[in-house]
Amino acid sequence: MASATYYITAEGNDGDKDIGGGGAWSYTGTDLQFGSDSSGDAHTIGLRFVSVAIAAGSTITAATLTGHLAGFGVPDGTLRTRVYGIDEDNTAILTSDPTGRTKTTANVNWDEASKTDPIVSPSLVSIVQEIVDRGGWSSGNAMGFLILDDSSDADPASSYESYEGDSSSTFALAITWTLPASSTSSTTTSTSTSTTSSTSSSTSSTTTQWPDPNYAQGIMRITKEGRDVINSNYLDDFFFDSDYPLLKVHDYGSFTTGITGLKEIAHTLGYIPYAMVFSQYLENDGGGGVTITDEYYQHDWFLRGASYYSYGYTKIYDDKLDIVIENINTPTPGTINGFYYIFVEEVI
Amino acid sequence: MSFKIKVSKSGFDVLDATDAKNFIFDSDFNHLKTAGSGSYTQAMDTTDRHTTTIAHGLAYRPLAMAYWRDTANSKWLIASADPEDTVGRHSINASCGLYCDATNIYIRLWNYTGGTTTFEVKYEFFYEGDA
Repeated sequence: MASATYYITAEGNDGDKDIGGGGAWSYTGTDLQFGSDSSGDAHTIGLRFVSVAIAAGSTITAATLTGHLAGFGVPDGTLRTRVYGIDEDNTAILTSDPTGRTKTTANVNWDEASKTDPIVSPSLVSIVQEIVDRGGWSSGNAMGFLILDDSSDADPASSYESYEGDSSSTFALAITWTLPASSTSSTTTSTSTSTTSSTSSSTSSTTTQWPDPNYAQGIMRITKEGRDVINSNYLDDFFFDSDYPLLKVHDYGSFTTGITGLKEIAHTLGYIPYAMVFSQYLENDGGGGVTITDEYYQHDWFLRGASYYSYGYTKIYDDKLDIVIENINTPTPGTINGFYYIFVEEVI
Repeated sequence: MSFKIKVSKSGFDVLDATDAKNFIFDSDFNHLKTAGSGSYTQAMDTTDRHTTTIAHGLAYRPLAMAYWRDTANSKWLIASADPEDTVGRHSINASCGLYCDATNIYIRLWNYTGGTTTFEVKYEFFYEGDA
């Protein structure tokens, strides 16, 4: 059993549209009109939650949306809405009108007879399950919802906080689920061979097929001070999040080379790795000559004089870095110092 | 006996994986640790140059990265070296250079667009550096 709560974490992930009044989709407003507005015009709310870490094949056991009152509107009658999922593997951002996107077959009535804060939806298990059961769903995808007016009573206006209105009180999606059973297959092979000396052998192996959802869903997170490691869903709150790889340092060092030179740094990775190189370089001295800088620059520079030029760059191979410095008629001798880092991660 | 902390990527057995690429975290390797980060906007007059100095407090030359854009253009670019000598590489008449010494990070902007504009810069520097 696992559970998580997801929030709206950036502009473009919630919005509403005055359907009845012919208004345009708005994703920058400070509130979201629930059901219909004070003129009785029907509204549709769109919500998008990112990084929903539910493995494909999981069974959803609970799912609700929660919203917080934005401060105005006491319903005079019953708000009647109907909730749909956006029927996409990885719901695209809501900066364009999402009301015409394909909806899930599953939908749920959500009626509110009185002003409450917060409002909590009925169970949305059927909707979330339909999205997670999509063939293209995978853990970490974005999940979207549309909340449509469903013939609310006249003048029941009630609006709820948007990300732009109060980013700490956005709609929240709480989900509880159970992971699919581990996909494990077992292969047993037995071989017997008889000769005059009668020897026999047997082998037995168990093969676990990866990814194993039970294993893959283990998450390690370390938050910054003051952030809740359980409830925070904002990536920048985390020092470490096992959903995201870190650059691992394979090798680093310093080098010295002449102003025309090639410094070769060997590595053993066998692929093209990420690398960073900083070095001193040459700059105009203002009197027609050049000098070597005291500061260290990214090793990606070019200097052009009236009768000379000089440049530095790095070529990355699957077995080495070539740190190149070339000069044509550049009148300053000397050596250039620098340093480099090579990372384990492969450039794809 | 040494202890290790390893977190494998989804689909890899943390006990059996041997390729370092298959680990999200591996205590056998150092990782870049952010020492500081920030962002700012800079109004630029015609043919203006402007250098922002950021004290890093590390007493050595750190690895650093910066990205920038002309707010009239949505394209973010990675800072290179001296903008005066790299201008034109990005097919726009402006550039951003990043360099450092043992005291500061320097971000130098150069506007040669022919008009006034505003640049936006984001930067990050790390505890790892001057090897």
